[in-house]
Amino acid sequence: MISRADLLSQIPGLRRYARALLRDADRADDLVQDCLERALGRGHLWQPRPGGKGLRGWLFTIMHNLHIDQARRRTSMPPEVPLEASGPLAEPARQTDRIALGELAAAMDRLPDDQRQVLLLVGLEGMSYRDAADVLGVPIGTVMSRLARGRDRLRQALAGESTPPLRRIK
Amino acid sequence: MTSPQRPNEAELNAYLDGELGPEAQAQVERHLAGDSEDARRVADYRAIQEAMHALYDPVLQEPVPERLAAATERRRSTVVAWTMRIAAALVLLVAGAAGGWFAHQNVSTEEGRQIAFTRQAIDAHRLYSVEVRHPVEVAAADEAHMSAWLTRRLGKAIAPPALGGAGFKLVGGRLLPSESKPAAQFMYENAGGQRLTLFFTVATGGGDAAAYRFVRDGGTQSLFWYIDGFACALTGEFEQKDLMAFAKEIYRSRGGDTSNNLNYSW
Repeated sequence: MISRADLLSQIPGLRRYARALLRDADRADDLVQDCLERALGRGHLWQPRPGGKGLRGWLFTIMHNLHIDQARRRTSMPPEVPLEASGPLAEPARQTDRIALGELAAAMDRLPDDQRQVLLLVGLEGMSYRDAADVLGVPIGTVMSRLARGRDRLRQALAGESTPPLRRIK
Repeated sequence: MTSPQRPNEAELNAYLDGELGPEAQAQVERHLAGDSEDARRVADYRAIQEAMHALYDPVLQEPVPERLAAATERRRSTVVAWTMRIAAALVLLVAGAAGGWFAHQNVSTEEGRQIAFTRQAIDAHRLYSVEVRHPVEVAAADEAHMSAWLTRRLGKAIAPPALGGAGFKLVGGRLLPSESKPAAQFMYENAGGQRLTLFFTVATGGGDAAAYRFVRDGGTQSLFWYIDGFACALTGEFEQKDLMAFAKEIYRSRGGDTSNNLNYSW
């Protein structure tokens, strides 16, 4: 049985991933809520794995599958609000010492969904290739190739056309 | 690694992500020391990674929205979900209103269970008897339907006793939870607009037919007793002697002999 405390402790991580995936705070929280509800509804199917890793991976898997379902349904709907017009994450001024965060967000948005997912699971959530492959339901080799392609595209996007490879701000 | 001299793109990524064994890791490190282009590439990937954290880690610091916290609570089965919620609210109200009193009731004893049940009756009475437009789920006009429905839900034949002899007419009834079992409430009203409710559930265990008790809370009083396999609480803003008289009327309406059935200390 899943304890409520365990579930609660997973929410911040799920929200971060969902927010990064959808770039819309409300829709992201909707996705997390769907995920939690489905998890509870199927709690009996969950088997804890040693090391406490199991719950997180399982929740991410559920959320990934929900996201895929929803994305599939949305393909017939009108396109979403353009990035610039939405969301607190489009703040233009924030940056690390090398990368303007608004540009990064925009560049990630232009990545294919499957590459973005891998980048977020491995790069942001710190999952191993194995765990990311389990969440996405693909072989490890696929995770690796999507990751390599996604990072390369991001790097090129952030470098712009004129100042390869990656613009130095400092 | 397939090519010790020059790691491929996948290997550079695996190096960055700590997916290589220590030996391969060291090999890539040596390569990067002598290959400024690949070194820059890895540095750029690192910078992107840091920027991703800068972009999205603030989400981790946000308080968890209430709706998400609520979503971690186990959902109740659909049909009774909202009456269950009322019941939960009631129990909290009781705990709050009655202060330590309720908390000290030991529901593992017969006496504690009777008192707890009677408290539920009082709370249900207070909640619904003040309702003008929706005092009941099923109105007296549908009495036959209500009886059939409650009989099915409680698993024991039940029909609202007639209390006309005491000046009350039936308003209707509703299904309610008591502990985790179904219970029901019949509501009556007299010519003066005073309401009387009969809260009952199928009795478990050996109910002593002669046992009865009063529980008072403010101006509301409830009489608890067992009748024909039901645990009942008759509740209203009435004196003890009035409630006893109404209870006798219930016996009478069920064809009981009041002088025998009611151990007349009441």
